[in-house]
Amino acid sequence: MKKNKITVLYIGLICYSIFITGCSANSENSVEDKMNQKVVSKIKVSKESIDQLIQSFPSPIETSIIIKKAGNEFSSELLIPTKKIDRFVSSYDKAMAMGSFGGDMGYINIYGKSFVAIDYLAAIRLLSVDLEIDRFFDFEDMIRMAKSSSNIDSLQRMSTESFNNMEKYLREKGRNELSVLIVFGTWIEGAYIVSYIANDNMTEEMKNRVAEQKESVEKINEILVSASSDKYFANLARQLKPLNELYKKIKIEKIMREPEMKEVDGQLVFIDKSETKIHAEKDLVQTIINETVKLRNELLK
Amino acid sequence: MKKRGYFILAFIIIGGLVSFVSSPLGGNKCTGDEEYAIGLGSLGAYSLIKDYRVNLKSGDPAPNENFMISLKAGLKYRFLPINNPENKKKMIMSIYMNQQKGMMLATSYNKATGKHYPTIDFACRTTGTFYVFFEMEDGEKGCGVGMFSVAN
Repeated sequence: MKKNKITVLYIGLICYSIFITGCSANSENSVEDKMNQKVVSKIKVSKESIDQLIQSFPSPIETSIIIKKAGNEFSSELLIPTKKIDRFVSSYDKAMAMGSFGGDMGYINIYGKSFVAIDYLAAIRLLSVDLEIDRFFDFEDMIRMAKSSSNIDSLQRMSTESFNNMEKYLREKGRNELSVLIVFGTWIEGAYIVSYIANDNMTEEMKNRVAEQKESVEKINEILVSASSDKYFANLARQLKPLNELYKKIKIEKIMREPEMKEVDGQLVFIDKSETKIHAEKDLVQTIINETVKLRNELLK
Repeated sequence: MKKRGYFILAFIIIGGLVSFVSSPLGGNKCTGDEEYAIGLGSLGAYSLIKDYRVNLKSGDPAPNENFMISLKAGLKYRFLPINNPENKKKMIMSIYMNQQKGMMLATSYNKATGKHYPTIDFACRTTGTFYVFFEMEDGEKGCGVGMFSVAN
């Protein structure tokens, strides 16, 4: 009888240790395995290039802060409509749309318009479920935060963390095509918002903000062209070409200088002494604005 | 017989504990999760843009990890290097103009005074692509988290 008890205990403990070593990985691995089996990346660009491209793109938060600091009011008219999400059919379309909705979330969060965020979170949820990357988002918590305007900072942080984790995961798992399209979607939405505002109020600052997109356009064009063995990317490169050609006419001169360093209240502060001179005719910037608006609406509206 | 049973029981319990510690549920010294939580608490009026989990080996010259970042003119950025408590030396976070360390724009370590700073603020005047570098003082091994944030 005693021997039987020890045997049962023995088996129980073995099961326990197997469970402990495997339980945390199991739930994730099953999804990961599924994702890994389903898609083989069609982008032949090196992982390093993709990593660099993604890392070097400005976040939607930065673009939105610039717009807000320039004194522009929030406008929900600028945002992509959240109705009829089924207009995004393929996984590529959905990835691009997801990036764009993420860009809009950055704009909404910086202006503290949490009541608008709920519809955008719902759209992102639908797209992420279809793309099987919804596990990076805690939608229940995010929607709860959006319903309470006092939690806007937490919502902003959580949105950033979710997108960062998702993007990192996709890159690590070699799903570069989705990663690039998410970045592209975020970028085109930010460029559209800047263009739309500059179109209404072409101040020197907004003109320069449009012009300084040159570097981003060059980088995204490079990746799209090198991935053009895939029909979708080839088509996207073709659509971006007119904008890229226009940006080639803009000249940006950078004069780099050593920064000034000082200690303020125990913190180290560096003041950039460099200078940027942007040479762009107003008419050229206007044409770029029109082309950006056209491209964004063709792809996402 | 009873003695043997207890021996087996002890063996299994120890084995289970060892497995637990080495499993993703158990303690991993360099996950960066604790450092990340500390960093979030220090952001204040800055919004997180990206975090970097860094794990550096020892070496001479000091090995580094570097990442491309985009900065925009007119914005104020804050960089935070958060050390793992077990680091013997501190992690240095620096911003350079290019990957060849062309011109240093900011750093958390003042070589002249030997002082490390918990944050670096950078008032940017030039839009462009730069590089954030992580390395350990004196090429020691260590790990930590770097945070890149922007003033709201």
